[in-house]
Amino acid sequence: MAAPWTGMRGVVDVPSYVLMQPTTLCNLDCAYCYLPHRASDRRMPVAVAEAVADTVNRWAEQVERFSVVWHGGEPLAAGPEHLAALMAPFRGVEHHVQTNATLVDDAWCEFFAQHKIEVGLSLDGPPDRTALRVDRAGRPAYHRILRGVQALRRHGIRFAVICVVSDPRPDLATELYQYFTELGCYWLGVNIEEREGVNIRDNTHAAEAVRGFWAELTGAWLADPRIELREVEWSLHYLAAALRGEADTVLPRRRDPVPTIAHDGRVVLFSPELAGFADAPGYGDFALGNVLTTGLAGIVAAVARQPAGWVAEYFDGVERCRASCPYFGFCGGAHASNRYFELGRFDATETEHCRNTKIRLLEGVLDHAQGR
Amino acid sequence: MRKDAEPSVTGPRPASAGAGREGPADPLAERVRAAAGGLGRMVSRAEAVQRERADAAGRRGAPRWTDVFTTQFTEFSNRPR
Repeated sequence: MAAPWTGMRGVVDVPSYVLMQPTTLCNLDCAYCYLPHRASDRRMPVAVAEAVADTVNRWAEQVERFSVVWHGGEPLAAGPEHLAALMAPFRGVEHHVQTNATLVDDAWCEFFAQHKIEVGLSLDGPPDRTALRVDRAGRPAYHRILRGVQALRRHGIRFAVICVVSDPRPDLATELYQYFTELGCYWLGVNIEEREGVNIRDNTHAAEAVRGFWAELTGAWLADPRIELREVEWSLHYLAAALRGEADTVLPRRRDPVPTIAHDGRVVLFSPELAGFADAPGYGDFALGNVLTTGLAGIVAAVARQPAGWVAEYFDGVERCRASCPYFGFCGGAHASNRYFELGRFDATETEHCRNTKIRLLEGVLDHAQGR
Repeated sequence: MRKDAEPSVTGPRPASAGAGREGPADPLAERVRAAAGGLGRMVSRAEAVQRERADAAGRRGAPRWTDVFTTQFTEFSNRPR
């Protein structure tokens, strides 16, 4: 019997990025959104950002690259003055926003350029593929998103895209890939819709359809690899190592805790989707501390030193994945949020998300390699 | 077992060595071996594309990150490289 996978044991001392929630508000109401409280504008006080920066600025001195990702809600709904005030305490970091683009105009583009912000958009393809992205009146957001894209192009600001696919199937993949190459993004991440947070839509799909989607997407990228394609390139990176007999070297040795700071300073680790909940049965709000009372470095160190509560349960689940799943070397174990929201516990193992986004992804790439 | 479930992922499995790590009845490793010819060509193509991309970034003075794949692969891994 071979030794078990050796990556993803323990937690790194210095993460590579943090996610910040400048406001809970989103001006859209997408059908698959996982965020609670997105209809209300609960803004992050500057004191929270200052507390986070107190740790992050020290972390940033210790690593080549550190990112602060302003996520949401819709981060631009916080307004440029408040977002600037939240960013002001940080030193030596890259700033990123993940935005729905509907508020992006010339003024925001100037803001992005002035603050050297890397921009990621959320867009699911042409109008009929983006139909789940709507406002609170149910009106499609597509044309407002495109106006934002046009503003970015006018200003020469490069942008990445995260695309949610709710109905993965082979014939969709090439259409989507061609759309995004023509849109002008330089990077694309593809998320199969997840059942998590307040989104309880079913995410089970026929295996062959999902594998076919990934296989076709692989073919589309290889035929025209002008944009970075997260899923396919990561898969090929892993499979290259597997071909060399080095599959166990791909995962980081220790896990990045991905600290996520909610608007009120509460911190969740490992799964940003756990932020913002108050009363999960048996687990409470998932928060592991609050930066207004405990330094972020202390929160991360305490969890790394002595995992307790849901984190200990999650680590048990990771070890169960390690012991049982052939794909562990690729993914490092099911995400905490997917375990909880799909299966009700953190020590459960294989989720629909694992199947759709990790297992069938690798299998689809291998299918393409075998000409299937 | 569901009809559409991948045979390699449902039900109890041996502690896996994973692809490239010899282990008993490791379905992923077997899949990689079976696909090695086509896979090798795809990997070569991808690595050439990534080298070109890094060179282009260098020519325009952009940071040339050499840690392309060191961050975890999650849905929030949206850092430009």
